[in-house]
Amino acid sequence: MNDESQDLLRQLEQATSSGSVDRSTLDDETAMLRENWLALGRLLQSTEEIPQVEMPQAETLLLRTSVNVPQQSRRWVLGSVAAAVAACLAWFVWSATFSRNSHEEIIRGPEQQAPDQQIPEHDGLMDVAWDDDWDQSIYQTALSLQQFHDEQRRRDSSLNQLQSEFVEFAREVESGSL
Amino acid sequence: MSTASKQHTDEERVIRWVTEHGDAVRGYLVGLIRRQDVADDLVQEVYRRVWQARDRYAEQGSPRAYLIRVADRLAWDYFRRHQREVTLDEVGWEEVEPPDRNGSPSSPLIDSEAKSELAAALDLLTIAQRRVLLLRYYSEMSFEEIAAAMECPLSTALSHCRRGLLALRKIMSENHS
Repeated sequence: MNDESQDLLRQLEQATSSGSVDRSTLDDETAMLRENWLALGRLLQSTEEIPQVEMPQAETLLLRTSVNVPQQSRRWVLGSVAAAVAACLAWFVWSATFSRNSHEEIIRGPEQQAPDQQIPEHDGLMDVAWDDDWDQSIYQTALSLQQFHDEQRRRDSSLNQLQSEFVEFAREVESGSL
Repeated sequence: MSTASKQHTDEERVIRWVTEHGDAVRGYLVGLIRRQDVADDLVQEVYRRVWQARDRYAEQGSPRAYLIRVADRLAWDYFRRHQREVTLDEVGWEEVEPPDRNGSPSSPLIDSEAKSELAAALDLLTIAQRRVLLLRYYSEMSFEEIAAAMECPLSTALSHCRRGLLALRKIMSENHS
């Protein structure tokens, strides 16, 4: 490095030093450069203090980038999943029981309900009853489902009969009675 | 050191860096690129890279200088990829991307007096001058380190710094008057 560069380096190190510099020790040009440097620093600092977009949370950043989740976190996650599955199971069992009861009621149909369960006509509730054929539609759908179910059962029974005949046939073949 | 405790140490170190040096890294990128949305993306990228390279990190020198060097490299890559954007002046920017009147986070540095002054000051500098001054201010690297980061001779880095400071004289004298 030549002398000129050495002098320039020394001058700029003084002008841009982050520590305090005694101004009286600086020549005019270095002092002016230092003034400009300090003014730039003030501007940069003042804009930093203005609320800006939030910095990314370190924890979020790490979660996003890390594949190696700590053991403790993993246990916590597994526990949460297990609790959620248990809740879903309980809900499923409850809803299945409920829907079976309501299904039986639907199959019976509105006209087949027991007389003591029928709502009296003038107890005020009929005023807010639905004025549409929704009940009828549900009833029709339920009947269709019931028919489909019976059909399935019939097919199952004929298959069962066929299966038992095959079993009988196999037994006879084994025993050599054919 | 076991793998678990090393992982814990790495996490603590990166979290500490985000807390202690996040503002400086962001300030450097905003000052250099002059677009907050891009700077915010690059800040995230800096920490992602640092996290990925955590095993290779050797504690030498200041962590801030290390982070700013990573940020500088990413910013330079960005400049290379978007060279046309770099060459646009303020008028060009107004045409391509009019200022957002709603003051969204992505609006350029015009939504406050201080930001306007800073923008005006940085406008006076070339990218190389801005880079040297911002590297010196935010990372407190020596001029030799700055020259190495910029991959240029020391005399060139010094020259950029001096010219940059002289160029700032104009805006500073306007402020004083």
